[in-house]
Amino acid sequence: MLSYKENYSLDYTLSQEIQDSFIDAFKDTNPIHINEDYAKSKGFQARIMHGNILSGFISHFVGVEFELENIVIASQSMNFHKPVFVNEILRLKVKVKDYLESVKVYNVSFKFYNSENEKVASGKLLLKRV
Amino acid sequence: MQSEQTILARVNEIFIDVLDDEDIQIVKATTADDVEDWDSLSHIQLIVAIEKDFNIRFTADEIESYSNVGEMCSAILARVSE
Repeated sequence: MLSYKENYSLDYTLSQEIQDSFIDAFKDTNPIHINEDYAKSKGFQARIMHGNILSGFISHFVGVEFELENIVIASQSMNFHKPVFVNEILRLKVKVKDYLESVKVYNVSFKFYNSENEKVASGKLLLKRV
Repeated sequence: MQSEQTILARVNEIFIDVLDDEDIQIVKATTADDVEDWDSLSHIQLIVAIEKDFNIRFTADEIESYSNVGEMCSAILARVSE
């Protein structure tokens, strides 16, 4: 039986640099992400960050922070509960629920919280040992 | 009391849910070759869902030994009847 931590907690900063890199890579220039006035006209307090930047943080967790090597993401789902904004610090909490020996898969859930301790995103992962 | 038919019906519902295909109708002889979307990824998702639904655990050797859905259902029935 492989031993592993059940709970992880990491902080990630939604920096402008990260958003710039994301836009440069994927060309999502929806004004709600880059135009302050437009975002406010839609009811947001400021322009909102691309939700899929959080997927990048998940990728970092799986590839770098998760203590077991030789892991790939077989499945990922994510729900966005609240908008996130530039320069916010998010706390990622990850729970490794169990390991299924039958298919060599870790069953994982995760949640992102903002500085107000509000859940802004949550999801599930199946991490496959390769 | 569970029977192989009731197990098969529950497994069929799991296939419908995981593969998002209301038309799926598995039988005991069904194999991955018979279900278009039953690939290596959905195989993982199916096993994860089946283990969760029946609250059982398989080993990798057990999974590899099943040659069709019917053999897996027989194994599930034996496990839940213990």
